[in-house]
Amino acid sequence: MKFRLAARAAAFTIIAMTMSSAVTLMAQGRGGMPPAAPVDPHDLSGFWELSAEWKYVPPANLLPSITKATLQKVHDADLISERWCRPIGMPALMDNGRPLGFLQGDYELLITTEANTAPRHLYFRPAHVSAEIFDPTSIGDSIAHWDGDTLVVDTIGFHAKNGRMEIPGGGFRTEKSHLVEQFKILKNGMLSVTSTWTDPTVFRTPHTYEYRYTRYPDPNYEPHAAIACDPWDEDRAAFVEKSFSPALKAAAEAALVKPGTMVVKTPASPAKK
Amino acid sequence: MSKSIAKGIIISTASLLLFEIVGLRVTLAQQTESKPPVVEGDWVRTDTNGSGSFGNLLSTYKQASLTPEGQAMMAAGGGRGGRGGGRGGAGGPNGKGAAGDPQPQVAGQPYVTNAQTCRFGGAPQLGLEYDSEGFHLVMNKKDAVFMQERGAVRHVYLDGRTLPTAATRPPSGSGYSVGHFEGDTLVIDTTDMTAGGVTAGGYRTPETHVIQRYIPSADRQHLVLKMTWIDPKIYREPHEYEFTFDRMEPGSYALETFCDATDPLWGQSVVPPPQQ
Repeated sequence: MKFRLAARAAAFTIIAMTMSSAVTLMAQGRGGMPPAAPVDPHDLSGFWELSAEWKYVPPANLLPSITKATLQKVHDADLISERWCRPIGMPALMDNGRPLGFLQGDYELLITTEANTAPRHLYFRPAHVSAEIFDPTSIGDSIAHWDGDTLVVDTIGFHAKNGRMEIPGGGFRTEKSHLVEQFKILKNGMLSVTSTWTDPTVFRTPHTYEYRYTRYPDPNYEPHAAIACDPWDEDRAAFVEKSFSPALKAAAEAALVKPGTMVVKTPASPAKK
Repeated sequence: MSKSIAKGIIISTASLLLFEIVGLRVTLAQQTESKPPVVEGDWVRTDTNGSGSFGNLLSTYKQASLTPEGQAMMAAGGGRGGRGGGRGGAGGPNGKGAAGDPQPQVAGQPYVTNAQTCRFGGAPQLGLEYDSEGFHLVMNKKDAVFMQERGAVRHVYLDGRTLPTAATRPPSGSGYSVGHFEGDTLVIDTTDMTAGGVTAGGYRTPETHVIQRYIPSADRQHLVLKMTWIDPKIYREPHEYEFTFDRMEPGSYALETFCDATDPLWGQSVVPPPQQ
């Protein structure tokens, strides 16, 4: 009897070890069924693309002070930025028509794209850079941490003017804006990015929308350099300004500072003794 | 001890043994995966003494030894290659009472001098050589991405792929790069670059190779980058020089810089600071 129990336990153990080895060997591609592509929910590296049907963008709940005139002013400013080839920044780069490249390293998750913009640095840090030393940018200061299988990204430090300011669904970002994003690979392999904006000067309630990105099918995809944006290309300028009102066109051209203009007066040199 | 209790103990022991074995195999598997050495991170260049005048900085570099063909290429199309975008354009009028400012120009004050600031000659690309700006490196097992703070990035493929020939891919300012580690040193081979000048009197064409060796110090706080340009048509011997970097302090972040045609600071004249 004792021998039978011992034999059963030993057999059970041997079977378990064999199964464990088989799984490992199959994962290495040796023998047995071809391995399923492993999906590490904590590695977002790869190229991701966004198609039109995978955007859920409800209308934003804006403060009464955000009038149609205010929104038009921001829209016009974005058009002028486009005219002069300024980087697009956040949130526009997350839906710029080109694949997003995610590269997850030890210190940060880098998001690049083939567009005229700075890349996003999502730093794996517990705290933002001190506001006393941080230079606001069109992409802000982003810190990230994992909450289970969800990468939570917190961004502040947006520049007052750089980048496209309009936010999907309505409203726009300011220096006071705060963005919280949740990145998660879903069971179907898509990457869900839920964005929630708060800004006491723009939104009555937090504004949330979701994009779902599909992993780029070509595993060997090599990103291209962004298409050059030449602000002095006359054909381009004429095309971009086609939809401009005469007043907007005049404002766009007035943004240019002509040669011969004094830049900033500097203090005069102290008189020599 | 009853038979059922003994049976239970044996089965429980076997189950525990099973979990331990599986867990041990997982742990061993994780430990044998290689993690990239720590050249990843944010770096600032330190060998910039004399960079107020590039002639002084480069005076410490050994000048390239060019073949007659290389000298002819330099004479025909020299100038630093590979960096797309930036300032440029013809200077505009800079006389007194110029349009835009009704007051006569004052000596010692900065004025906008460029007529077409930020005119680009092609798609923005990250060059292979560094100026006083730092660089930021993010990597995993397959890819290393270098970026500076002007928007463009450069990919170095670490997955064992081979370099393309110029016939299969048009040359670019950044070229095409593949890399691997030799110990802690990241070794990058780049070719397929657009033609142009190289530091210290060198030149490059799409057929030229440059080997970059990023060598970290033992404490990973310092980096030496050794550049070696190889092209038998251009160089009598490999053209070599190096840069040095310090790792940025923890909490550093990438700045954002871009050429703004509407910002007069990008098109202004250089004004000497007041002398005390």
